[in-house]
Amino acid sequence: MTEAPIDRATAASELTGDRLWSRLARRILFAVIAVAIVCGGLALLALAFSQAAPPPPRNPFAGGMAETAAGGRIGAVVIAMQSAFYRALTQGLQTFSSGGAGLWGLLGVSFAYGVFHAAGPGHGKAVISGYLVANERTLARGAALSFAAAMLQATVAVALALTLALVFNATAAMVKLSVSVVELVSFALVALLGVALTWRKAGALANPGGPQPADASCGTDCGHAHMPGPEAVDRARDLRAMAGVVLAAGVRPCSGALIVLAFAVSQRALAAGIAATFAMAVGTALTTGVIAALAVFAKRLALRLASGGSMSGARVMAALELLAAAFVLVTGLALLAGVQAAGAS
Amino acid sequence: MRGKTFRYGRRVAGAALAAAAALALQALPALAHPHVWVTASAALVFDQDGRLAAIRHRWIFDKAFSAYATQGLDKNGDGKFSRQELAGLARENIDGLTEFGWFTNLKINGAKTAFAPPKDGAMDMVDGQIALGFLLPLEKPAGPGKAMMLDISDPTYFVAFSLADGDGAIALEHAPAGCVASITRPKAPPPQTQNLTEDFFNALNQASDYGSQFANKVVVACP
Repeated sequence: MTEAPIDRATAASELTGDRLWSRLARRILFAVIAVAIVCGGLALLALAFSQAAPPPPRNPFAGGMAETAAGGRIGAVVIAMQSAFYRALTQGLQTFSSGGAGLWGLLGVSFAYGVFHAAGPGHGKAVISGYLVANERTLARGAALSFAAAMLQATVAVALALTLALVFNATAAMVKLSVSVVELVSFALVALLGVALTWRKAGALANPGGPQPADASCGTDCGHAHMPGPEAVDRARDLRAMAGVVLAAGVRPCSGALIVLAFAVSQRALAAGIAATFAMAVGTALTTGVIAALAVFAKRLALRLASGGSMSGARVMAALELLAAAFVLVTGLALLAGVQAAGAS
Repeated sequence: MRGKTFRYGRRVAGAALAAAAALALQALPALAHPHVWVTASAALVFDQDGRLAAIRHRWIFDKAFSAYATQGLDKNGDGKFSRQELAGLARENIDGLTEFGWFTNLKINGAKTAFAPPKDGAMDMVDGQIALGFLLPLEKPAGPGKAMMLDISDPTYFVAFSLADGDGAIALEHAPAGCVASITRPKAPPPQTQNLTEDFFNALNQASDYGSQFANKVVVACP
């Protein structure tokens, strides 16, 4: 009851500098709170699982890269499945190169390997699902993002492996170094994307019901707000954000693909190795797509629970979207911190 | 008024649940995807006083990782990898293993044993597979007449270790008379055929044994 008159009073002075400053302050505050909540939540979860958690995986042998996989009993089964398919894949590549086995069998196990390889936590899935929850996105959008990211990943793996092996005759140590550079870029992209999403969503929460950010409270990413029609601007911004998602999620090649490609080069079965890499990517896209679909359904469920079109419901949704955006940001920062920690030791 | 509060509470609970589920998916404990398979054999080396002095390892890597690790190392381009060409890689690997305790767990009468830096590290390639050999001395040789338990494994499962087939997996060098080594293997036998399907299920069985404390354990008892 006491709030209404104040609201009206501030509405009258909406265009004054004070109002803009307070909105900006609120926006920053919301962004900081969201990041703090996500950090706290992740820290609590890490604490809860810390007894069971073995040290983070690192690769002792020169050249290879360690990747994280899911833990726990289900994680063990998934790892068992994917390592079995991986063994079948390398075995199949060898048999193929000696003229013994068909290409389709090789592609089949590669696909299956991709499916199980992707069934675990990974920054690509975190980015895609975070983006989908933060924005109102359809299943088709989720599937397209997952597919594009997986194809990019395979393309980067093939390009990197071929350039390094055939042009530079590179050693495994050099491959590892190049991957760490690409990895650093992709993690930075995740963090940047998180910053952009968090900023936008904090703005939506700070200015509920208002138009999409007006120029003054607008981030660096919408300096061209006076360009043709709001829909065109939205679409352009959308495309840019989605390109960012695909890059952040897919630019880092997976080590399995790099090993398979190196093996294919040594077996003189390069074409089969490339085909296997892309079959792997299709499998990866399938798993990532399922996880993306889960994110879309979770968002819809939350929307339905918060339905009614009331102000508080809209605010809860805006807060949830902000948390999802902050999750992308925190994931990016955690990945960068991990790289730094690994580099320091 | 009550109804409104309830509805609001339900909304918050729903949103919180969705957020928590999304977070929980990402925060499970980390294991690595296995990308390296090692077939290990080891010799327990005793000194003149019959004390356990060192462990001599020989690890054979799978063909795919072998190809990956040796790319660009064939300096003279003869299609073969000499010990000299692999010397750098051997040094790098042994240095890298320090941090992991050389994946070697040795318990003597239940107490964990410390090791001194390895010696005689070298790599060679046989039939497209690289092998890493090194001698891992115990910090203090262990007196005779003790029960020893050796296990070679990577707890994060980046490297999938399995002991070589047969009795040759574990040797006892200069051991006092009467010492016996017994090997506990995973239930499934390691892959022996070139058959794709059979290999697949063998690999699956082996991998399912991850976390099993009893896979690839060696117990040595001396009188």
